[in-house]
Amino acid sequence: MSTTTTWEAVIGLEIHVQLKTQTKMFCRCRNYFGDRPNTNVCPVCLAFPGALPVPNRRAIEETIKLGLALDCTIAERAVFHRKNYFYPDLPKAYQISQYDEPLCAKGALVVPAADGDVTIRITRAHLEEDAAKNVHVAVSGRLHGATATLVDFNRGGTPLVEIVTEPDIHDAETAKRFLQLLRQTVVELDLSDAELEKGSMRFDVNVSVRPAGSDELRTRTELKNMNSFNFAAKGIEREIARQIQIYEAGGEVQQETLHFVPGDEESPPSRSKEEAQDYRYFPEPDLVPVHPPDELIDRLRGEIGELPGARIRRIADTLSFYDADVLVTGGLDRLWSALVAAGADAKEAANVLANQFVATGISPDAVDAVELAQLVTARSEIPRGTFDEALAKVGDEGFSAAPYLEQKVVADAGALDPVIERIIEANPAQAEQYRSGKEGLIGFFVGQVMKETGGRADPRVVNERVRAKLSA
Amino acid sequence: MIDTLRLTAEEAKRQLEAGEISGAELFAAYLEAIGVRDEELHAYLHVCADPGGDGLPIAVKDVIGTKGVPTTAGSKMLEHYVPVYDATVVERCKAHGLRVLGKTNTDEFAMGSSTENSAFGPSHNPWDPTRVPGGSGGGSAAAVSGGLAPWALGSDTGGSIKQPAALCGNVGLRPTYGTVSRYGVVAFASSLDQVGPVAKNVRDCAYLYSIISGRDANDSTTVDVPVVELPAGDSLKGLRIGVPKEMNEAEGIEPGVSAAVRVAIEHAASLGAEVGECSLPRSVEYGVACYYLVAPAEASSNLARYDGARYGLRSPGDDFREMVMNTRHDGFGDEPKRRIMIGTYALSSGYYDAYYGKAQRVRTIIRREHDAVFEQFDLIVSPTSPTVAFELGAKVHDPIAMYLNDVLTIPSCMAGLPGLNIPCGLSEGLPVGLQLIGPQFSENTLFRAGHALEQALAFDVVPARLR
Amino acid sequence: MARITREEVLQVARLARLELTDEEVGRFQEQLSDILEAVSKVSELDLSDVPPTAHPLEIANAWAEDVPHPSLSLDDAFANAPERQDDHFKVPPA
Repeated sequence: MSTTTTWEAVIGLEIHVQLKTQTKMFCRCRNYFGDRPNTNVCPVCLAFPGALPVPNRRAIEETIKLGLALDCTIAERAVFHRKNYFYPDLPKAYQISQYDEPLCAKGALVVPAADGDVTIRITRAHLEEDAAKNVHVAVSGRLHGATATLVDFNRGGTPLVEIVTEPDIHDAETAKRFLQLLRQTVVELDLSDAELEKGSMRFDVNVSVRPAGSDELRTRTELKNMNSFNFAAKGIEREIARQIQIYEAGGEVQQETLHFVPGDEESPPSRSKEEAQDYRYFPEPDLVPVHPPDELIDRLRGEIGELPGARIRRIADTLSFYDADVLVTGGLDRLWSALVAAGADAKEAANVLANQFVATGISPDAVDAVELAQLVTARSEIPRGTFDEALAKVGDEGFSAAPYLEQKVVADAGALDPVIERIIEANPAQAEQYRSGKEGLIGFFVGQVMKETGGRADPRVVNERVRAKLSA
Repeated sequence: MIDTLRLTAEEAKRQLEAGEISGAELFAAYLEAIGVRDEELHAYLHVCADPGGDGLPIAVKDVIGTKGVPTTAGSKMLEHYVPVYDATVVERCKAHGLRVLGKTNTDEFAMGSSTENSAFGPSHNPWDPTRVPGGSGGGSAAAVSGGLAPWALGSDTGGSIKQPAALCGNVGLRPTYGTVSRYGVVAFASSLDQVGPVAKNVRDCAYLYSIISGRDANDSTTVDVPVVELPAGDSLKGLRIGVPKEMNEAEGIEPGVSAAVRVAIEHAASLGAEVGECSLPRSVEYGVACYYLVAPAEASSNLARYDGARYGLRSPGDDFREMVMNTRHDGFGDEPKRRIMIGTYALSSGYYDAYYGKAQRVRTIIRREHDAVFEQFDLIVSPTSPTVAFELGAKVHDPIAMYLNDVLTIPSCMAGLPGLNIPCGLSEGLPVGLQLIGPQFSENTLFRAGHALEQALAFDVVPARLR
Repeated sequence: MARITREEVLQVARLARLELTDEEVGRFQEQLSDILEAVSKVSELDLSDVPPTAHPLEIANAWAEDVPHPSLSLDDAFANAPERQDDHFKVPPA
């Protein structure tokens, strides 16, 4: 017996991005993925007695840059705090993080959408250090099920930016687009590789539902370990459905953490009720506050350039939203802009890039836009085969469109008519069949003409003239 | 024949440079003295072999990391721990040619005022071995006064250099916070810990400070320091000395201690100082409470890394959590456990504002009161310790009585201020220490005043029973 | 008066990962209560408009350049390790 309530999902995200600095956050060990275990370690990141943290200046600057890209206010005074808890991947038994004085706060990321942009507010972005890596293993020769934990501290101490959003997201698709846009922003700013499989970008999702139109905030669950954006969308959708079902059956949603299996979208998550942890945050006494100088903030702001979200919006003034979105998210829009600047038609250029160019696998950076623009403009004037051949080589050093443009398509009826007449005359049987109703045979004649002209005839004009001649 | 009881570092240096003694002879003289007297004093936890060369030997408190030499912090937790790197202060000493004689005894994790909290047994006062040498750095103080080292490195959080110096009759400096690197030093309370020199006289103390002090890239809480001036004068003309009422009339100060300090202050006046009364209304009254919230809170976090995972003691356990809990039960003595628990409590959810948060504000009050006094005075003076050396066992069962040993040293520590102890007389045959405290970065003023007073007081640093 | 309850002692010991015997819980409860009472003195002062001092020195912006320094050798990293398996630190299962 359910009422017909319409439900609204309330979703917030917590994202961690590993910065790709040369060294770790609080020591100068190499920040590098894939080395032999425990070879990028020192007294500081192993938490030996007497070790002290020294912050990585570049990591601080990059966090500020990311905050500026997210329209955040940069703190006049930022402080590091200790977050205290015990776990094998946390050698100091505290993580140096930020608490109530983070580097960046109160920003927003606008997610462009065809039916209206969605503004997702950013609560904060702060800087902290990543934990080490635990590997749980079975110990052979012992009782069945006995295990040990092995720890590799190479990753311990990697600089990590934590970004928290307000619960402004209301559907799985927007969550996915937000994550994609954030990832692209971070990669374009060269702050991180942000690869989900490698763990250089991770996210947790908080989900609750409420009756549409209300502004209450009901119990939320936390979804962890979804390591792709599609996975995230699916997991969120299922969780929304699950919660709605519970409420409609008259029940209450329990506060739980859902642990998904990375890489496995189908298996249901395991559930746990996390004990409220008392982290006993206090200002890190081994570190002094950060007062970002105005000149630094100005310089970093100047390095940002036009971000992907803004570019989608701008290009959607010229092209369709869909095309703009495909170009920007596909990393093709800069090349597109260059093509247009070099004289190519906007829509033609978009078309070529989004369809044929993408299939070549060539890097947009390798392309000389002026040459490609010529190719695009002359597309209808040169044979299809010639065009495809040229496009395949467009990333080569010193590529020139000129030789391909010379192979003009023959579109002049005056030049083609004699050829067409000759072929019709040489194939009286097919001509008779066509005239008595077999329209499909037009293809045969067009094909013959194309063969005769070495593929250089304009197929549309051939088609037109063949029909004309056969009907005459 | 080298008289290690009387030999200062400066004099030893002169003799070495003049070729009157060799480096090997000097080191051997201390090893011999250790062989004779350390069984009684138990100043050392580890004695090193002569590494060769002719640098001055130095004793190092066992919370300071020495590469390849055991560093126990006076605790079972680190009983077999051997660092793979030197603390910055040790590196700087070695760069100056100094040779490490050995590691001196300390209250466990530098928590205590008598060395009775050491897991390896207490040290004994060279003036009277039935009494404590003070703490936590009692080992270094006993070594220097007992002729077992010309000088030593200590560490001070709430008085752990100055108070043992007072009880053993030698000179100890607690430097301005941030002027000496803490890198490689077992952390107790990060915003209070400082490494400092322990010596027989002020000039040696100043010289050692000049070797170890200065900004360190490995410690982001350090700063550049003014050039150290070795003191030479005997006049205190123009120096304005304040006598804080609350520090000189506090409850619990023994009459003999007050008397000796008064004599010293009169000497200062006769040397030309302008002596006047001043007040620190709340610093003394609330200092101990403030300290015993801030220090344990930071310690509870600093000591969390001792979990049996990567070094130190490991006790058995079926899972990680059990192993950690057993290790920490077995590895820590009672005092670290008490402080860890109080500290955890003070930081915990619901209590932070009332305890740790409040204490950090009291700290501001203490700082402001001292700043105000230093607008009118160049230094302030008081007894360092309210009592002379007490008997072993006298306060062990009363943690709060033990904490009150630091009532006079704590306030200036909370404000990050430097303080120098010089011996100023005897009471019942035991040394009395005078504490000189100045504003931040006033070490040269402390040295100048301390040296002039030291000359005038002519205190014999060799324990009477050993002469 | 500020006394610590037995439950609070156990809670704090759990947070700090300190195993305690029954006798220890009782003894520490006494001592911690005495200490807490003494330090609670700070609550006598009205300090609502006094800022906290987290650092004795007023310094800011201490940091280092993003340039790698040599790491420890495996031997040094494991020199004091209670248990090692190949190139990993080994602990009981978490």
